[in-house]
Amino acid sequence: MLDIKEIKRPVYEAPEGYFEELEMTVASYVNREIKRDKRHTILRRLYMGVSAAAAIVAIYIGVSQVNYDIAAYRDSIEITSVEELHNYVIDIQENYSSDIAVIDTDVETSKSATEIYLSHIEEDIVTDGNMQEETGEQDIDDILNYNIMELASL
Amino acid sequence: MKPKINIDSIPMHTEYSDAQLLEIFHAGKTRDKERVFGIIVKRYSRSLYSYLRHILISHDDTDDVLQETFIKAWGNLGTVKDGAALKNWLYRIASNIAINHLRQKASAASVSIDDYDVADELDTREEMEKMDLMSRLTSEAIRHLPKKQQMVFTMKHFEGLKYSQISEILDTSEGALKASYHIAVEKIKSYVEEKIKE
Repeated sequence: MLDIKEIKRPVYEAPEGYFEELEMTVASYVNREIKRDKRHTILRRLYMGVSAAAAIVAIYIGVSQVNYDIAAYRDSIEITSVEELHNYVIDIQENYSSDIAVIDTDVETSKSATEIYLSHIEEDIVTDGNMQEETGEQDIDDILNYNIMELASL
Repeated sequence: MKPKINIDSIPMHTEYSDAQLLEIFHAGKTRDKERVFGIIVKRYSRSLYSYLRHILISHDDTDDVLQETFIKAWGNLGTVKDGAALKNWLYRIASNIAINHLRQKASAASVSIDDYDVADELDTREEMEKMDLMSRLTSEAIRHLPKKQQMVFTMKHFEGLKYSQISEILDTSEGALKASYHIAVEKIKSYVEEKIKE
């Protein structure tokens, strides 16, 4: 029976200088990897720097915009106040006019402007006429009184 | 407080243990890491080559797997904290890459990984013919074993690893490894005896 110790180790020969070559191949790979990592590190830092700068610029622009908006808003408040005052005045005027218009409208709801005008003239004429009538009666009375007084003095 | 190790004072054939080398690797700068890794490659390239060569037979395949092993090791060495585990860790990487390599080759040949004969290539056959009878028969006998048994036998019998180490490398219980090794030895003995009788 074969003893386990008799089982000989098969000797596989590596080519001459193989291990030196392997060490150099691995070393050059490691060296390339280190350089690549350094490049990546530099690029990453550069990228982070650019990102940070971009973020700062963005924040600055954002803050400036907010300040500008606030200033513009204040101006608009001031302008609005003036405009509001102006509008208020116009409003009062309009309301006042409309109130007058409402009175006119209430009184003369079914009449046109011309009719209203004519009716005013008519009223004036009547009033004048009445006054004239009144004046005529007075005059007659006065004449009569005068005549009686004259007759009495005769 | 531990004394600070000056990496520049370490010669290439250093006597520093794996644990000390890892300590320098973790604490050192890039140049120190590069140098420590160079020492590790020098320290383990021969034993890993021998182990892989028994599994893969072909020098070119062994070279491919060995380079890939060290490339992977460089990328992940930072994760190894226990210096005592460095050797097992390297063998584990080499075993996994070797299995994947054989699986790809077997798949290309449309056979299972255990049926794939790594010695089919011409240069390997020529190299086999140069060996003495006992070495050649042993090599043939090993090639007829399933891949995991090949690994267990090679690591135990030729590389002198302990069961506890092989257990860590192959992620298998020690009991299963002992049984696997025993079966492998019996198969090899039987194969060699049969061939000698012929």
